[in-house]
Amino acid sequence: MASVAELTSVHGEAVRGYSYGFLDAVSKREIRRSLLKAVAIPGYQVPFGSRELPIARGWGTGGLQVTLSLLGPGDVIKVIDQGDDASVNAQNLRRLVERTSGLQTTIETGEATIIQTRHRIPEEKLREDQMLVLQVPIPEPLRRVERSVRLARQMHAERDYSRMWLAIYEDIVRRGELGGAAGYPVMVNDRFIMAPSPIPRWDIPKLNMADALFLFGAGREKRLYAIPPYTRVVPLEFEDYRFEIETFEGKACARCGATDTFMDETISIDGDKTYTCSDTAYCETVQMGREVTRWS
Amino acid sequence: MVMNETPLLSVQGLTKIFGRGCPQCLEQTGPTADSNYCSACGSIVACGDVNIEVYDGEVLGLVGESGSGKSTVLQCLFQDTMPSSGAAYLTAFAEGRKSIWEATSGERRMLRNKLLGMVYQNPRDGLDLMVTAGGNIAERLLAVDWRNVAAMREKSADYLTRTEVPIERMDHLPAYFSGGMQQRVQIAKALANSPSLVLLDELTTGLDISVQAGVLDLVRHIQREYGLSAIVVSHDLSVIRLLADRTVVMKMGRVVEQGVTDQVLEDPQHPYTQLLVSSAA
Amino acid sequence: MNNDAPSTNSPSPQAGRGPGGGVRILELEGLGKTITLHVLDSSEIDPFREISFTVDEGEFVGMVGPSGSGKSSVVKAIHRTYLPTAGSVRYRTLDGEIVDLATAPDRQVLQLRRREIGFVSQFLKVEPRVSAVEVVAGPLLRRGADRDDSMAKAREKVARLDLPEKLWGSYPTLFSGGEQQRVNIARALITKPRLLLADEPTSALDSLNTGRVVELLEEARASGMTIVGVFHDLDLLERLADKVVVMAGGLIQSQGAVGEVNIPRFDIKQEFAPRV
Repeated sequence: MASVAELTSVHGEAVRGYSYGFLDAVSKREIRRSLLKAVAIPGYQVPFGSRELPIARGWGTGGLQVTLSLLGPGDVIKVIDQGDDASVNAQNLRRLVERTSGLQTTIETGEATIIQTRHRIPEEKLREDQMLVLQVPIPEPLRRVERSVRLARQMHAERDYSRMWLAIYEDIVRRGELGGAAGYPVMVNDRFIMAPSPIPRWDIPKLNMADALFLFGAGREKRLYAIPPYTRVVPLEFEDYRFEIETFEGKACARCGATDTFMDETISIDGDKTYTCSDTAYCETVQMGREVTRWS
Repeated sequence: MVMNETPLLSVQGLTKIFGRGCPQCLEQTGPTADSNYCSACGSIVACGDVNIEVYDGEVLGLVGESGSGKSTVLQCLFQDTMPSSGAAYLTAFAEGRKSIWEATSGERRMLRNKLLGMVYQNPRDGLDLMVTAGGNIAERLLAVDWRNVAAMREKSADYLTRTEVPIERMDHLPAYFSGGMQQRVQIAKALANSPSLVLLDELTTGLDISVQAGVLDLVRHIQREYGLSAIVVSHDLSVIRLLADRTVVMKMGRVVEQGVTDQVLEDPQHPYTQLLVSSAA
Repeated sequence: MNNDAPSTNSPSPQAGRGPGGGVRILELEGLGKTITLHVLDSSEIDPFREISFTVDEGEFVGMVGPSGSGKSSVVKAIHRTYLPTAGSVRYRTLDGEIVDLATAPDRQVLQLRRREIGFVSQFLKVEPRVSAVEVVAGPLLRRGADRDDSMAKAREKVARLDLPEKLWGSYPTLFSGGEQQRVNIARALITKPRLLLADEPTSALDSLNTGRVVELLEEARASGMTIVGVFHDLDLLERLADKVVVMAGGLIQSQGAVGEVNIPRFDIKQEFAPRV
């Protein structure tokens, strides 16, 4: 695909003034500084000046700003939405990245250096040289117990999380089990409670002591946060009510036959249920008979 | 031997001024001035230079009318509000060597969740009405790092039993309880973590008479059974007579008299106390 | 089950000296009280002045006098329910310490009341929704005694006063005056105080109940309890008291052994004397 220089030569005025990777250098520096701070304080939400982008808020502007600030020549970009490279959103984001940077994009998880994702972590284990950028709708895990931004910040500052624990206790009282399907709150580095973005429970264990760097961007809410490699990340649980991931017992992917991936359920008009791997790229590798490393 | 006893709580020079305050505030206000309002700077002296002691295992009554500052004393002790000046030493906190008002935020949470308990006149102030009764108690346990649901439920059930709240209501929301039962849940919550000192602010005001009797009886019973130390604030002398071993009388933010309860009520020395006692039915 | 008697033999009530063997337990010296009624333009009243007498351990001292003579006030002053404004009330504690109750710190007064000094008033101060047995057990529970044990002792005591068993679990608010006062007395005696102060404990009782109370007081006295009380029943005093203090107009008129002092027969159907 064309680089900015090539685009300029073809379209002239229309693209003049845009930088490499869409964002100007000053913006990128600010975002990178904020990301450094985020990495230095695992799980802490760093406020940042969220820029205007050619997509609306709520469509991944946070994740996009992170990706655009970090990419450079030599990077290979993968974009997925709910595990799918082919979804409309993923396609559009990928196209924007391609056109403003001229970088190579890929579907192969193992080939990417930066993976931007909405609501899923790939089934293939990520390496030390890879970064996962997650799109975050609501970065504040305490929002359900404290609506005031100021008071929530104070709770984080003082590590005063009893009301959050209370909410989880109440869930257990009301339902007999831990609540929350997606975006289950986690304790990072034994210090901050963090919202991992609406990833399924299935993906939560991947955050703990990973080789890769996880970066979280919330564009509308203007917060960035990070989990550096080899950080302890533990879902909030009680001694007698432990966190559990979803089970897909007795189910297999209709496309590749895998029984050990996170699957999407599709219900046909006749009421038949089929299950398919949510991570389409991984599904491909299984179909092709390729072995890839999984998270432990 | 008694003379050397260290009080459980020692409050020294507690002053709370609403407004900017000035050097004349204390002399412009108080019982002799018959006002809380400092005419020099327009501030309100809610309480001025209050000295109070509570000993282990005793109930101290704090009596006075509106404007006496008695509730302000409790609010400062529980740190719902910070005093303008003064110090308070609790033997259970830093061995009584550090004023509770010098506490760090973590220490303050410890004070509010473990070392002290508070029951407010309005249950809304002490409970989250939309959290289950058991959950309200569990909040204090969680604050001191309990992490076992079954253990917390057992403990909460225990406290609720002590305050005679039916166990079946443990998972119900206090929003739907009667006033008396809400108070009982509040008391149960205040008892959680076995605090050194429990603060009771107008415990029964607003409750029906028969309900008041039950709640008062409960408090006496708990106090005896568990040797609780408490400060009971009330404008109702009969509550003070029933619960308090010693009593402090406040007017316009100052302490005007203190002594053994029956002596203060039967042989009041200060003019204001005499007025108060003779006004009671 | 008489667990009150000490190891020594107790002399008969008429012997004049208690079994304590002459140890002075209480000494009032120049005790006086002035009440300033601020609500009445600070007018002053002296309920009693220059009160001096001593009490040996084990003695039964009766205070007599017409209504308004100040005798109740003196007894209340010893208990510190009234704050004396002059003189002293020296009390020898169980540990042998001498404490001036008039000026002792509140905390110490409360401790002594809990451990050694009891008080029986003329009427029961009713506590709402507390059963009779629980009222009686109260002082023991307040000391931290075992609950079951305290309740058992309380039941014994009310049984001794012939309080009908069906009333034991009931609220004294519903009792007759006589029944209430029996509960009151049981409560005062249950901790076996070293010094019992009494303010007309039998005035509101009929002769039958008075008799029961007298029995209990006799037993208490026989076990070494020191009793200082206001009684209007002169027959009772002549039977129980070792010493008598006669007051009138706030002053002591005469005092001495019960056989020696002339106790004027006052016109006594003692109405509840006003506080002064």
